[in-house]
Amino acid sequence: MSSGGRIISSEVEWGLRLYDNEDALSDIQPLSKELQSFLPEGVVSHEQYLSNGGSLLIDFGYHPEYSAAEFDSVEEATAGEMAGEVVTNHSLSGFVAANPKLSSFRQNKRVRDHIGNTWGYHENYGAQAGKIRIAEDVLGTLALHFATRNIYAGAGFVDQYPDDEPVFRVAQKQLNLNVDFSAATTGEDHKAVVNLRNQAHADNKRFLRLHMTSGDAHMSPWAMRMTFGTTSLVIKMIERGYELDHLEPRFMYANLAKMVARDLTLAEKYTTVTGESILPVDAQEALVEIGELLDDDGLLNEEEQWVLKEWRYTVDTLRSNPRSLSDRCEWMLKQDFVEKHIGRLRQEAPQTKHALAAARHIDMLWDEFSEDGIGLKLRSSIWKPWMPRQETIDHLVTNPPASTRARVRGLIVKNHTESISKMSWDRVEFDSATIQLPNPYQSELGSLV
Amino acid sequence: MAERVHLEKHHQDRREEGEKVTQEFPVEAISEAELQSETDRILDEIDEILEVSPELVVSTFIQRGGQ
Repeated sequence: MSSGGRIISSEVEWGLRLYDNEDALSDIQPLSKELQSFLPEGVVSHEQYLSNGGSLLIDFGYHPEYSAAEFDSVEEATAGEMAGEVVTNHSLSGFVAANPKLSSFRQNKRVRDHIGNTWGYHENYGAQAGKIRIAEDVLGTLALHFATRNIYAGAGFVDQYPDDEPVFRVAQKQLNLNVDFSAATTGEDHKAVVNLRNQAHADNKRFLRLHMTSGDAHMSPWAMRMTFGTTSLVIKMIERGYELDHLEPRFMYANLAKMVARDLTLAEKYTTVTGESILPVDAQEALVEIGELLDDDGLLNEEEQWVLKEWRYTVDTLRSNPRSLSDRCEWMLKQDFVEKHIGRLRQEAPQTKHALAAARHIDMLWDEFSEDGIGLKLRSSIWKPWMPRQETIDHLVTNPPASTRARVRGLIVKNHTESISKMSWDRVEFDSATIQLPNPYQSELGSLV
Repeated sequence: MAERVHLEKHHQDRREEGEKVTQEFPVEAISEAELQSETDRILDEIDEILEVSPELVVSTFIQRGGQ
Protein backbone atom coordinates (compact mmCIF):
# COMPACT_ATOMS: atom_id res chain seq x y z
CA MET A 1 0.00 0.00 0.00
CA SER A 2 1.27 3.46 -0.81
CA SER A 3 1.46 6.11 1.90
CA GLY A 4 0.15 8.56 -0.69
CA GLY A 5 3.22 10.75 -0.22
CA ARG A 6 4.65 12.57 -3.18
CA ILE A 7 6.42 10.43 -5.75
CA ILE A 8 10.13 11.30 -5.63
CA SER A 9 13.07 9.89 -7.54
CA SER A 10 16.51 11.00 -8.68
CA GLU A 11 18.78 10.46 -11.67
CA VAL A 12 22.54 10.52 -11.11
CA GLU A 13 24.85 11.00 -14.06
CA TRP A 14 28.30 9.94 -12.89
CA GLY A 15 31.68 11.42 -13.52
CA LEU A 16 33.79 8.49 -14.73
CA ARG A 17 37.35 7.85 -15.79
CA LEU A 18 38.62 4.46 -16.91
CA TYR A 19 42.37 3.78 -16.86
CA ASP A 20 44.27 1.26 -18.94
CA ASN A 21 47.25 -0.82 -17.81
CA GLU A 22 49.60 2.09 -18.41
CA ASP A 23 47.40 4.41 -16.32
CA ALA A 24 46.31 6.32 -19.38
CA LEU A 25 42.68 7.30 -19.84
CA SER A 26 40.66 4.74 -21.70
CA ASP A 27 37.60 5.10 -23.92
CA ILE A 28 34.29 4.81 -22.04
CA GLN A 29 32.24 3.94 -25.11
CA PRO A 30 32.66 0.12 -24.86
CA LEU A 31 30.89 0.32 -21.51
CA SER A 32 27.65 1.22 -23.29
CA LYS A 33 26.86 -2.36 -24.25
CA GLU A 34 28.15 -4.06 -21.12
CA LEU A 35 27.15 -1.95 -18.14
CA GLN A 36 24.17 -4.16 -17.26
CA SER A 37 26.30 -7.32 -17.49
CA PHE A 38 27.90 -6.81 -14.07
CA LEU A 39 24.95 -6.03 -11.80
CA PRO A 40 25.03 -7.09 -8.14
CA GLU A 41 23.84 -10.59 -7.35
CA GLY A 42 20.08 -10.66 -7.19
CA VAL A 43 19.56 -7.78 -9.63
CA VAL A 44 18.15 -8.70 -13.04
CA SER A 45 17.79 -6.36 -15.99
CA HIS A 46 15.79 -5.99 -19.15
CA GLU A 47 17.91 -3.63 -21.18
CA GLN A 48 18.26 -0.54 -18.94
CA TYR A 49 15.44 -1.48 -16.55
CA LEU A 50 16.35 -3.26 -13.33
CA SER A 51 14.48 -5.59 -11.01
CA ASN A 52 14.89 -3.08 -8.16
CA GLY A 53 12.72 -0.68 -10.14
CA GLY A 54 15.59 1.54 -11.25
CA SER A 55 17.44 1.96 -14.51
CA LEU A 56 21.11 1.92 -15.49
CA LEU A 57 22.50 3.08 -18.82
CA ILE A 58 25.17 5.15 -20.51
CA ASP A 59 23.64 8.53 -21.22
CA PHE A 60 24.46 11.65 -23.17
CA GLY A 61 28.16 12.50 -23.00
CA TYR A 62 28.99 8.89 -22.05
CA HIS A 63 28.05 9.38 -18.42
CA PRO A 64 26.75 6.28 -16.63
CA GLU A 65 23.29 7.23 -15.38
CA TYR A 66 21.41 5.51 -12.57
CA SER A 67 17.74 6.47 -12.36
CA ALA A 68 16.19 5.41 -9.10
CA ALA A 69 12.79 3.78 -8.79
CA GLU A 70 9.76 5.86 -7.86
CA PHE A 71 9.50 6.27 -4.07
CA ASP A 72 6.79 7.94 -2.00
CA SER A 73 8.89 9.31 0.85
CA VAL A 74 12.02 11.39 1.32
CA GLU A 75 13.49 8.59 3.44
CA GLU A 76 13.17 5.97 0.72
CA ALA A 77 14.20 8.36 -2.06
CA THR A 78 17.43 9.02 -0.12
CA ALA A 79 18.04 5.33 0.56
CA GLY A 80 17.13 4.46 -3.04
CA GLU A 81 19.65 6.92 -4.45
CA MET A 82 22.31 5.37 -2.21
CA ALA A 83 21.28 1.91 -3.40
CA GLY A 84 21.92 3.21 -6.92
CA GLU A 85 25.42 4.21 -5.88
CA VAL A 86 26.05 0.60 -4.88
CA VAL A 87 24.57 -0.82 -8.10
CA THR A 88 26.60 1.54 -10.31
CA ASN A 89 29.84 0.95 -8.41
CA HIS A 90 29.38 -2.81 -8.57
CA SER A 91 28.72 -2.69 -12.31
CA LEU A 92 31.75 -0.51 -13.03
CA SER A 93 33.97 -2.68 -10.82
CA GLY A 94 32.82 -5.80 -12.65
CA PHE A 95 33.37 -4.25 -16.06
CA VAL A 96 36.91 -3.16 -15.21
CA ALA A 97 37.78 -6.51 -13.59
CA ALA A 98 36.54 -8.40 -16.65
CA ASN A 99 38.45 -6.24 -19.12
CA PRO A 100 42.15 -7.16 -19.23
CA LYS A 101 43.03 -3.88 -20.91
CA LEU A 102 41.75 -1.87 -17.96
CA SER A 103 43.40 -1.43 -14.56
CA SER A 104 41.15 0.91 -12.57
CA PHE A 105 38.42 3.52 -12.61
CA ARG A 106 37.39 6.65 -10.77
CA GLN A 107 33.68 7.19 -10.14
CA ASN A 108 32.63 10.64 -8.92
CA LYS A 109 29.22 11.79 -7.71
CA ARG A 110 29.29 15.36 -8.92
CA VAL A 111 28.06 17.40 -11.88
CA ARG A 112 31.10 19.45 -12.87
CA ASP A 113 34.68 18.86 -14.01
CA HIS A 114 37.67 21.15 -13.62
CA ILE A 115 37.20 23.09 -16.84
CA GLY A 116 33.53 23.88 -16.34
CA ASN A 117 31.76 21.10 -18.22
CA THR A 118 28.56 20.11 -16.43
CA TRP A 119 26.24 17.13 -16.56
CA GLY A 120 23.12 16.07 -14.76
CA TYR A 121 21.73 15.33 -11.37
CA HIS A 122 17.97 15.32 -11.88
CA GLU A 123 15.15 15.30 -9.36
CA ASN A 124 11.68 14.04 -10.25
CA TYR A 125 8.60 15.03 -8.27
CA GLY A 126 5.11 13.73 -8.94
CA ALA A 127 2.13 16.04 -8.79
CA GLN A 128 -1.56 15.94 -9.55
CA ALA A 129 -2.42 17.32 -12.97
CA GLY A 130 -5.41 19.27 -11.68
CA LYS A 131 -3.41 21.17 -9.09
CA ILE A 132 -0.38 22.43 -10.98
CA ARG A 133 0.81 23.01 -14.54
CA ILE A 134 4.30 22.72 -15.96
CA ALA A 135 4.43 26.28 -17.19
CA GLU A 136 6.53 29.36 -16.61
CA ASP A 137 3.60 31.39 -15.29
CA VAL A 138 2.96 29.03 -12.34
CA LEU A 139 6.48 27.86 -11.43
CA GLY A 140 8.11 31.15 -10.45
CA THR A 141 8.13 30.18 -6.78
CA LEU A 142 9.87 26.92 -7.68
CA ALA A 143 12.47 28.93 -9.63
CA LEU A 144 12.98 31.13 -6.57
CA HIS A 145 13.58 28.01 -4.48
CA PHE A 146 16.09 26.51 -6.91
CA ALA A 147 17.92 29.83 -7.28
CA THR A 148 18.33 30.24 -3.49
CA ARG A 149 18.26 26.79 -1.85
CA ASN A 150 21.99 26.21 -2.46
CA ILE A 151 22.82 28.37 0.54
CA TYR A 152 22.32 25.05 2.36
CA ALA A 153 21.96 22.49 -0.47
CA GLY A 154 24.99 23.34 -2.65
CA ALA A 155 27.64 20.65 -3.00
CA GLY A 156 30.50 23.14 -3.42
CA PHE A 157 33.58 22.88 -5.62
CA VAL A 158 37.06 24.31 -6.16
CA ASP A 159 37.23 26.82 -8.99
CA GLN A 160 40.29 28.72 -10.10
CA TYR A 161 41.22 32.34 -10.57
CA PRO A 162 43.34 33.22 -13.59
CA ASP A 163 46.49 33.28 -11.42
CA ASP A 164 45.91 29.60 -10.54
CA GLU A 165 44.77 30.33 -7.00
CA PRO A 166 41.99 28.05 -5.80
CA VAL A 167 38.67 29.69 -5.03
CA PHE A 168 35.79 27.88 -3.45
CA ARG A 169 32.21 28.01 -4.78
CA VAL A 170 28.96 27.15 -3.01
CA ALA A 171 27.38 25.16 -5.85
CA GLN A 172 28.45 23.35 -9.02
CA LYS A 173 25.70 23.37 -11.63
CA GLN A 174 24.38 26.85 -10.93
CA LEU A 175 27.31 28.71 -12.49
CA ASN A 176 26.36 27.26 -15.89
CA LEU A 177 22.66 28.18 -15.78
CA ASN A 178 21.75 30.72 -18.40
CA VAL A 179 17.96 30.67 -18.77
CA ASP A 180 15.17 30.69 -16.21
CA PHE A 181 12.83 28.18 -17.89
CA SER A 182 13.43 25.70 -20.69
CA ALA A 183 12.30 22.25 -21.74
CA ALA A 184 15.79 21.40 -23.00
CA THR A 185 18.35 19.52 -20.90
CA THR A 186 21.31 19.48 -23.27
CA GLY A 187 23.17 22.28 -24.98
CA GLU A 188 25.19 24.86 -23.12
CA ASP A 189 22.75 27.63 -24.04
CA HIS A 190 19.74 25.94 -22.47
CA LYS A 191 20.70 25.16 -18.89
CA ALA A 192 17.57 26.27 -17.04
CA VAL A 193 16.81 26.97 -13.40
CA VAL A 194 13.46 25.21 -13.90
CA ASN A 195 13.17 22.53 -16.52
CA LEU A 196 9.82 22.54 -18.30
CA ARG A 197 9.95 19.02 -19.74
CA ASN A 198 6.37 17.79 -19.64
CA GLN A 199 6.75 14.03 -19.81
CA ALA A 200 4.67 12.38 -17.11
CA HIS A 201 5.57 8.74 -17.87
CA ALA A 202 2.03 8.18 -16.55
CA ASP A 203 -1.59 9.08 -17.28
CA ASN A 204 -1.00 12.74 -18.01
CA LYS A 205 -4.61 13.63 -17.35
CA ARG A 206 -4.08 12.70 -13.70
CA PHE A 207 -0.36 12.89 -13.03
CA LEU A 208 2.50 15.25 -13.77
CA ARG A 209 6.21 14.80 -13.29
CA LEU A 210 8.30 17.87 -12.45
CA HIS A 211 11.76 17.12 -13.83
CA MET A 212 14.31 19.42 -12.18
CA THR A 213 17.79 19.61 -13.64
CA SER A 214 19.61 22.50 -11.95
CA GLY A 215 20.64 20.94 -8.64
CA ASP A 216 23.87 19.40 -7.40
CA ALA A 217 24.44 15.72 -6.62
CA HIS A 218 25.24 15.10 -2.97
CA MET A 219 27.28 12.88 -0.73
CA SER A 220 25.70 14.34 2.43
CA PRO A 221 22.54 12.47 3.45
CA TRP A 222 21.24 15.60 5.17
CA ALA A 223 21.63 17.56 1.91
CA MET A 224 19.82 14.79 0.02
CA ARG A 225 16.94 14.79 2.50
CA MET A 226 16.66 18.58 2.47
CA THR A 227 16.88 18.77 -1.32
CA PHE A 228 14.00 16.31 -1.73
CA GLY A 229 12.04 17.48 1.28
CA THR A 230 12.08 21.24 0.81
CA THR A 231 11.41 21.01 -2.92
CA SER A 232 8.48 18.68 -2.36
CA LEU A 233 7.08 21.18 0.14
CA VAL A 234 7.49 24.08 -2.29
CA ILE A 235 5.52 22.11 -4.88
CA LYS A 236 2.85 21.56 -2.24
CA MET A 237 2.73 25.32 -1.64
CA ILE A 238 2.20 25.94 -5.36
CA GLU A 239 -0.48 23.23 -5.48
CA ARG A 240 -2.24 25.07 -2.65
CA GLY A 241 -2.16 28.36 -4.53
CA TYR A 242 0.69 30.08 -2.68
CA GLU A 243 3.22 32.07 -4.70
CA LEU A 244 6.10 34.43 -3.97
CA ASP A 245 6.26 36.22 -7.30
CA HIS A 246 7.02 39.53 -5.56
CA LEU A 247 10.40 38.04 -4.52
CA GLU A 248 11.35 37.30 -8.16
CA PRO A 249 14.73 38.86 -8.97
CA ARG A 250 14.68 41.88 -11.26
CA PHE A 251 17.35 40.31 -13.49
CA MET A 252 16.63 36.61 -14.00
CA TYR A 253 16.53 33.66 -11.60
CA ALA A 254 19.62 32.28 -13.39
CA ASN A 255 21.63 35.34 -12.37
CA LEU A 256 20.43 35.01 -8.78
CA ALA A 257 21.48 31.34 -8.84
CA LYS A 258 24.97 32.33 -9.98
CA MET A 259 25.20 35.00 -7.30
CA VAL A 260 24.32 32.42 -4.65
CA ALA A 261 26.90 29.97 -6.03
CA ARG A 262 29.67 32.58 -5.74
CA ASP A 263 28.78 34.17 -2.40
CA LEU A 264 30.54 32.36 0.44
CA THR A 265 29.52 35.11 2.86
CA LEU A 266 25.79 34.57 2.34
CA ALA A 267 25.55 38.33 2.73
CA GLU A 268 25.04 39.48 -0.85
CA LYS A 269 21.58 40.87 -1.53
CA TYR A 270 19.57 40.88 -4.73
CA THR A 271 16.93 43.28 -5.99
CA THR A 272 13.42 41.98 -6.44
CA VAL A 273 10.98 42.99 -9.15
CA THR A 274 9.35 45.29 -6.62
CA GLY A 275 12.66 47.05 -5.92
CA GLU A 276 13.29 45.51 -2.53
CA SER A 277 16.82 44.46 -1.61
CA ILE A 278 16.83 41.08 0.13
CA LEU A 279 19.10 38.16 1.00
CA PRO A 280 18.69 34.69 -0.48
CA VAL A 281 18.00 33.48 3.06
CA ASP A 282 15.09 35.95 3.20
CA ALA A 283 13.55 34.18 0.21
CA GLN A 284 14.10 30.81 1.86
CA GLU A 285 12.53 32.05 5.09
CA ALA A 286 9.48 33.28 3.17
CA LEU A 287 9.08 29.73 1.90
CA VAL A 288 9.46 28.32 5.41
CA GLU A 289 6.72 30.66 6.60
CA ILE A 290 4.33 29.33 3.98
CA GLY A 291 5.27 25.81 5.05
CA GLU A 292 4.37 26.75 8.61
CA LEU A 293 0.96 27.96 7.42
CA LEU A 294 0.41 24.60 5.75
CA ASP A 295 1.42 22.88 8.98
CA ASP A 296 -0.96 25.07 10.99
CA ASP A 297 -3.72 23.92 8.65
CA GLY A 298 -2.83 20.28 9.35
CA LEU A 299 -1.69 19.63 5.79
CA LEU A 300 1.75 18.14 6.50
CA ASN A 301 2.56 14.54 7.26
CA GLU A 302 5.13 13.49 9.84
CA GLU A 303 8.01 13.44 7.39
CA GLU A 304 7.11 16.86 5.97
CA GLN A 305 6.99 18.22 9.53
CA TRP A 306 10.55 16.99 10.13
CA VAL A 307 11.70 18.69 6.92
CA LEU A 308 9.94 21.93 7.87
CA LYS A 309 11.43 21.95 11.36
CA GLU A 310 14.94 21.34 10.02
CA TRP A 311 14.37 23.98 7.32
CA ARG A 312 13.37 26.54 9.99
CA TYR A 313 16.43 25.62 12.07
CA THR A 314 18.60 25.99 8.96
CA VAL A 315 17.42 29.47 7.94
CA ASP A 316 17.61 30.71 11.54
CA THR A 317 21.14 29.33 11.91
CA LEU A 318 22.23 30.72 8.53
CA ARG A 319 21.41 34.14 9.96
CA SER A 320 22.95 33.69 13.40
CA ASN A 321 25.89 31.29 13.10
CA PRO A 322 26.03 29.76 9.62
CA ARG A 323 29.28 27.85 10.04
CA SER A 324 27.73 25.79 12.80
CA LEU A 325 25.84 24.04 9.98
CA SER A 326 29.13 22.59 8.71
CA ASP A 327 28.26 19.25 10.26
CA ARG A 328 25.41 18.77 7.75
CA CYS A 329 25.75 21.37 5.01
CA GLU A 330 27.93 19.78 2.32
CA TRP A 331 29.54 22.86 0.77
CA MET A 332 30.58 24.25 4.14
CA LEU A 333 32.27 21.07 5.28
CA LYS A 334 33.99 20.59 1.93
CA GLN A 335 35.31 24.15 2.18
CA ASP A 336 36.63 23.38 5.69
CA PHE A 337 38.49 20.32 4.37
CA VAL A 338 39.97 22.21 1.43
CA GLU A 339 41.14 25.12 3.57
CA LYS A 340 42.60 22.89 6.24
CA HIS A 341 44.52 20.85 3.65
CA ILE A 342 45.86 23.97 1.95
CA GLY A 343 46.77 25.38 5.37
CA ARG A 344 48.81 22.27 6.19
CA LEU A 345 50.48 22.36 2.77
CA ARG A 346 51.48 26.02 3.18
CA GLN A 347 52.86 25.34 6.64
CA GLU A 348 55.30 22.91 5.04
CA ALA A 349 55.95 24.94 1.90
CA PRO A 350 54.74 28.57 2.12
CA GLN A 351 55.49 29.29 -1.54
CA THR A 352 53.87 26.16 -2.89
CA LYS A 353 52.70 26.28 -6.49
CA HIS A 354 50.52 23.26 -5.91
CA ALA A 355 47.71 24.91 -3.97
CA LEU A 356 45.16 24.72 -6.78
CA ALA A 357 45.90 21.07 -7.61
CA ALA A 358 45.94 20.16 -3.91
CA ALA A 359 42.57 21.85 -3.36
CA ARG A 360 41.14 20.06 -6.37
CA HIS A 361 42.52 16.79 -5.09
CA ILE A 362 40.38 17.17 -1.97
CA ASP A 363 37.42 18.22 -4.15
CA MET A 364 37.77 15.05 -6.25
CA LEU A 365 38.31 12.70 -3.33
CA TRP A 366 35.24 14.19 -1.70
CA ASP A 367 32.77 12.51 -4.03
CA GLU A 368 34.89 9.57 -5.19
CA PHE A 369 33.59 6.06 -4.63
CA SER A 370 36.74 4.39 -3.36
CA GLU A 371 38.25 3.53 0.01
CA ASP A 372 39.80 7.00 0.03
CA GLY A 373 36.54 8.80 -0.70
CA ILE A 374 36.06 11.56 1.89
CA GLY A 375 32.27 11.68 1.55
CA LEU A 376 32.01 7.95 2.18
CA LYS A 377 34.16 8.34 5.31
CA LEU A 378 31.93 11.17 6.50
CA ARG A 379 28.87 8.96 6.13
CA SER A 380 30.42 6.72 8.80
CA SER A 381 31.24 9.61 11.10
CA ILE A 382 29.92 13.18 11.06
CA TRP A 383 27.00 12.46 8.74
CA LYS A 384 26.02 9.14 10.27
CA PRO A 385 23.00 10.53 12.18
CA TRP A 386 21.27 11.47 8.90
CA MET A 387 22.05 8.25 7.06
CA PRO A 388 19.17 5.97 6.12
CA ARG A 389 19.39 2.59 7.80
CA GLN A 390 21.99 0.40 6.09
CA GLU A 391 19.51 -2.47 5.84
CA THR A 392 17.12 -0.19 3.93
CA ILE A 393 19.85 0.70 1.43
CA ASP A 394 20.88 -2.96 1.10
CA HIS A 395 17.25 -3.97 0.61
CA LEU A 396 16.74 -1.43 -2.18
CA VAL A 397 19.82 -2.63 -4.06
CA THR A 398 18.02 -5.85 -4.92
CA ASN A 399 14.35 -5.03 -4.28
CA PRO A 400 11.93 -2.45 -5.58
CA PRO A 401 10.03 -0.17 -3.19
CA ALA A 402 6.89 -1.84 -1.89
CA SER A 403 4.49 1.02 -2.40
CA THR A 404 4.76 2.32 -5.97
CA ARG A 405 4.48 0.89 -9.49
CA ALA A 406 8.25 0.32 -9.41
CA ARG A 407 7.32 -2.84 -7.48
CA VAL A 408 5.26 -4.12 -10.41
CA ARG A 409 7.87 -3.18 -12.98
CA GLY A 410 10.70 -4.62 -10.90
CA LEU A 411 8.99 -7.90 -10.25
CA ILE A 412 8.08 -8.30 -13.91
CA VAL A 413 11.73 -7.81 -14.83
CA LYS A 414 12.81 -10.24 -12.11
CA ASN A 415 10.35 -13.00 -13.01
CA HIS A 416 9.66 -12.51 -16.72
CA THR A 417 12.63 -10.71 -18.23
CA GLU A 418 13.02 -13.24 -21.06
CA SER A 419 9.41 -12.73 -22.16
CA ILE A 420 9.44 -8.94 -22.33
CA SER A 421 9.54 -7.56 -25.83
CA LYS A 422 9.63 -3.88 -24.94
CA MET A 423 9.32 -1.75 -21.83
CA SER A 424 9.38 1.79 -20.47
CA TRP A 425 8.65 3.37 -17.10
CA ASP A 426 4.88 3.05 -17.52
CA ARG A 427 4.46 0.15 -19.96
CA VAL A 428 5.62 -3.45 -20.33
CA GLU A 429 4.95 -5.26 -23.60
CA PHE A 430 4.94 -9.01 -24.19
CA ASP A 431 4.23 -10.74 -27.50
CA SER A 432 0.63 -11.38 -26.53
CA ALA A 433 -0.18 -8.68 -23.99
CA THR A 434 0.70 -5.21 -22.79
CA ILE A 435 0.68 -4.06 -19.18
CA GLN A 436 0.03 -0.38 -18.68
CA LEU A 437 1.23 1.33 -15.51
CA PRO A 438 -0.36 4.77 -15.78
CA ASN A 439 -0.64 5.25 -12.01
CA PRO A 440 2.71 5.70 -10.16
CA TYR A 441 1.03 4.57 -6.92
CA GLN A 442 -0.11 1.24 -8.40
CA SER A 443 1.93 -1.39 -6.55
CA GLU A 444 -0.14 -4.51 -7.24
CA LEU A 445 -0.81 -6.46 -10.39
CA GLY A 446 -2.47 -9.68 -9.35
CA SER A 447 -0.89 -13.07 -9.94
CA LEU A 448 1.55 -12.01 -12.67
CA VAL A 449 4.01 -10.56 -10.20
CA MET B 1 31.76 11.21 18.49
CA ALA B 2 30.25 13.01 21.43
CA GLU B 3 26.61 12.75 22.32
CA ARG B 4 24.20 15.00 20.50
CA VAL B 5 20.89 16.39 21.55
CA HIS B 6 18.24 14.50 19.63
CA LEU B 7 14.95 15.85 18.43
CA GLU B 8 12.11 13.54 19.34
CA LYS B 9 10.78 13.51 15.81
CA HIS B 10 9.96 10.21 14.32
CA HIS B 11 10.53 9.26 10.80
CA GLN B 12 9.05 6.33 9.00
CA ASP B 13 11.21 3.79 7.33
CA ARG B 14 9.13 1.17 5.61
CA ARG B 15 11.48 -1.69 4.85
CA GLU B 16 8.63 -4.10 4.49
CA GLU B 17 4.99 -3.44 3.87
CA GLY B 18 3.25 -2.81 7.14
CA GLU B 19 6.46 -2.57 9.15
CA LYS B 20 7.06 0.79 10.80
CA VAL B 21 10.50 1.72 12.02
CA THR B 22 11.25 5.06 13.57
CA GLN B 23 14.44 7.02 13.12
CA GLU B 24 15.64 10.02 15.10
CA PHE B 25 17.71 12.90 13.84
CA PRO B 26 19.93 15.40 15.62
CA VAL B 27 18.80 18.99 15.57
CA GLU B 28 21.74 20.71 17.21
CA ALA B 29 25.11 21.04 15.55
CA ILE B 30 28.12 19.22 16.91
CA SER B 31 30.76 21.41 18.50
CA GLU B 32 33.43 23.15 16.48
CA ALA B 33 36.08 21.16 18.37
CA GLU B 34 34.45 17.85 17.46
CA LEU B 35 34.15 18.89 13.83
CA GLN B 36 37.79 19.95 13.64
CA SER B 37 38.87 16.72 15.29
CA GLU B 38 36.97 14.60 12.76
CA THR B 39 38.29 16.70 9.85
CA ASP B 40 41.87 16.21 11.09
CA ARG B 41 41.33 12.50 11.58
CA ILE B 42 40.04 11.97 8.03
CA LEU B 43 42.76 14.12 6.47
CA ASP B 44 45.38 12.14 8.41
CA GLU B 45 43.77 8.91 7.20
CA ILE B 46 44.21 9.89 3.54
CA ASP B 47 47.54 11.62 4.05
CA GLU B 48 49.46 9.17 1.85
CA ILE B 49 47.02 9.64 -1.00
CA LEU B 50 47.30 13.41 -0.69
CA GLU B 51 51.07 13.23 -0.88
CA VAL B 52 50.91 11.82 -4.40
CA SER B 53 51.55 14.64 -6.84
CA PRO B 54 48.03 16.07 -7.14
CA GLU B 55 48.67 17.45 -10.62
CA LEU B 56 48.88 13.89 -11.94
CA VAL B 57 45.53 12.99 -10.43
CA VAL B 58 43.50 16.07 -11.18
CA SER B 59 44.81 16.76 -14.67
CA THR B 60 42.70 13.95 -16.10
CA PHE B 61 39.43 15.18 -14.69
CA ILE B 62 37.87 16.54 -17.83
CA GLN B 63 34.52 15.05 -18.79
CA ARG B 64 32.20 15.51 -21.70
CA GLY B 65 29.23 17.70 -20.87
CA GLY B 66 25.99 15.85 -20.23
CA GLN B 67 22.43 16.87 -19.48
